[in-house]
Amino acid sequence: MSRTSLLLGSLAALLGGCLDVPSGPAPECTQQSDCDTANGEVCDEGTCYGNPPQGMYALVISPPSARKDLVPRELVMPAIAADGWIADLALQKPTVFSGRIEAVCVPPSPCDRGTIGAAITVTRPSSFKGGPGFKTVADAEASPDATGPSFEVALPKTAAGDTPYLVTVMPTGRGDEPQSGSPSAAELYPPIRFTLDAKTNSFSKTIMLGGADLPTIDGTVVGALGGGLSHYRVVAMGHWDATAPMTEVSSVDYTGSDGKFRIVLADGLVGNVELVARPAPSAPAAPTLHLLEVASSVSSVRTLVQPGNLGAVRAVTFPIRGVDGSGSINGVRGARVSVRATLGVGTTGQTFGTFTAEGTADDSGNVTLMLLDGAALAQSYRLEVVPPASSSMGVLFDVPFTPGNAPLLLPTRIAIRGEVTDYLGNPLKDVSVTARPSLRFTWSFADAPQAFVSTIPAATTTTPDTGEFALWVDPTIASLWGHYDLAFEPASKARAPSWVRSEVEIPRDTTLSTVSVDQVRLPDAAAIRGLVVDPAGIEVEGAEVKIFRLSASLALCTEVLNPPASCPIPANLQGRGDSDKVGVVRLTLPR
Amino acid sequence: MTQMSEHHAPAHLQFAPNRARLQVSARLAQGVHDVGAPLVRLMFLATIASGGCIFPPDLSVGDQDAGVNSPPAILAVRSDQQELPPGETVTFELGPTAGSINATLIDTNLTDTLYVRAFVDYTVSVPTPARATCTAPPPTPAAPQRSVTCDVTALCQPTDIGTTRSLSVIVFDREPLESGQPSFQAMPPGGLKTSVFYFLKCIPRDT
Repeated sequence: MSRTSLLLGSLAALLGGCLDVPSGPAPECTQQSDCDTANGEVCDEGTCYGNPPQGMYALVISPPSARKDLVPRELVMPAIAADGWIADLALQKPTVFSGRIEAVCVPPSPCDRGTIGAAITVTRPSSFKGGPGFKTVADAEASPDATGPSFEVALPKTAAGDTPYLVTVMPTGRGDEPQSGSPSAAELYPPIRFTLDAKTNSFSKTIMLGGADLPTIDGTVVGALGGGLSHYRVVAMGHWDATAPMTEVSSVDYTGSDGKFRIVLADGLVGNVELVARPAPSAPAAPTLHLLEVASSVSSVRTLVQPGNLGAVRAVTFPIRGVDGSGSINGVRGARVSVRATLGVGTTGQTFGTFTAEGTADDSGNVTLMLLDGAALAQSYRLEVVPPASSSMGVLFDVPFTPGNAPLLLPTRIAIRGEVTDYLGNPLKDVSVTARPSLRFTWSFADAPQAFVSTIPAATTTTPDTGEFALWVDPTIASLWGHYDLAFEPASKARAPSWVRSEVEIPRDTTLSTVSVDQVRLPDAAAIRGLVVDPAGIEVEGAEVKIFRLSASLALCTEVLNPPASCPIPANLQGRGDSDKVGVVRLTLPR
Repeated sequence: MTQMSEHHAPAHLQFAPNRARLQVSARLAQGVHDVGAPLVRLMFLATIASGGCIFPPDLSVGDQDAGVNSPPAILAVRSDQQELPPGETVTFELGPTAGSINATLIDTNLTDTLYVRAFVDYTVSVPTPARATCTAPPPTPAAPQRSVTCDVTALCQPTDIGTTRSLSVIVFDREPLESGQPSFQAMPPGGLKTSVFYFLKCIPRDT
């Protein structure tokens, strides 16, 4: 021991009663008797581990991105011992799916055995209801080489009872404007979708795109007076699965000065498709053109006609203002503003148009949009405004808008106030609180407002020493009164679990500026842990483990007006943690 | 992880010279100065003799405002499915099924609250507000590493479908101000930030 240490040690002994060295909170336990040993708890690392709550759980273990030799794993009903130890957190080796993407050889054209550039998306639903499932996206290279793989994808092995993977191959070059030089792969070949099992350690497949038998849509984009319109990107939207949202299901084409296009539809489509012609961003503002109910099983010829009386493009600047917390009217910096109009009616065989202009309010709260001033549009503009996250000003949805009309004033949001405490009732500091529209609220809307609600950033805040919080939310959207879920995430390492208070209802009273929720008492936390290892039994650092509580209740799906067809109620995430240098992951569960 | 740390201070302070100064009292320099020097020993003895108490400074690391601020760092960003490798293309669904991202952060200033913001197609000439925000308070007990979950329901907008956007996840060690430049990313003087970049592809909900 050095001379200096001795001196300091002596001083510390003499002044022991005076020193006031700051320290963190006392450990939860220093000996076994500090814990609930009767229920299995053990004292380790200053924490009482164990006594996990009863219930049905599922785990998802994800490797760090640097470990390409490992794939995620789902574990339904994991074994969690009374002392909090989670068994079998072993990651697995992947099945390697590799291959080539080539064009179908259509005689008499010479066969090109080079590979085609594409994005390959591989998905598989979770093995438990509402789980995150598996999704990966890989790029396939374009190459003139006639041999060798052009892509490689690592997949969790398909086990007995697993749903097959869904593979979607989307040729590259689907941008808003045509690429320079030769046509892109997306202009030549439609996408393809197929299912796949991955039961062996590795397998290879050559994916063939295109084909002489695929239906095509030939046509022209014309103006109201009949002339061809250039700079339109044409594609078909449709379904491989009737319950999934529409997606691009054809090759793309870009119109030239004659307005002509030709696209090839993908194989295996369900129902009819919608033809969509969108003007290029570099072209003057113009409506997007739609043609509904185009047959997907046979080839056809179609004409998309741009509506007349669109007028000229004009820059329109207007202020976005609202009443702030001090009661004064100010510009809403950063508000996202969208003006839309629909031209015509979407009936079979008739083109209808949609026009959208978007912008963001500047530091003064002013926004400038490029609008068409023709008679066909001027009376049908509708406005949407979304202020930045956590703003005290509210949204506007589907409000009639006339350029040059009176200044806009955003509604004031309502504050959800409350206090977060631990399970003993002590205020909890540094809890992150987030309010998001509940699924019940979101799925009560028709499609358009439902999409709008999803564009509103969630309000978030953190609690001070008092545990109090206030979050600004929209009391109503599209005339529906709000319901919000409040998610509570205590600070890292805190002895409190993450928690959600569901369905906080906004009272149907337009005079209220605040709604108070009862004291939010977070449940006691059960600490659990486990060791993440690779297939060789070596510890894995930086892996993530998520634990979900399983729920079989799908009642909400029948209680709301407009749930998605698959009604994807997410599983209840109860905790997440990363493995440390020696592979140990620590989680908390609400009791 | 590829990331950039940026010091955020008034421009006129950017090129201030480091002036020479006495380092005896500096915390990082204490270990190399001779605490056994006669004068110091005399001071200790005098203190003991007087019967007074010594109230040492806060011994925790870097938790004083006047201390040197170090930049926060992003160790990992994860979606609900996987870790997102920096610089690569990441895919998120539109709407409520987009889920969340979880950021693992580190800051040696243990009492700094960290503010995470996700910006899409942000440029200085066309600044846009963050589409996802969350806050990571300092861990208790104090530790440099922490994680935080951000709701990304609004990360993708309908007009993002079919195009590739830029996505920057930025962690600030001071709360971004409601005014100032660069817009939506300005901080009080002395604040530091670090970012990771991705290419963002937005897709409709699939199943």
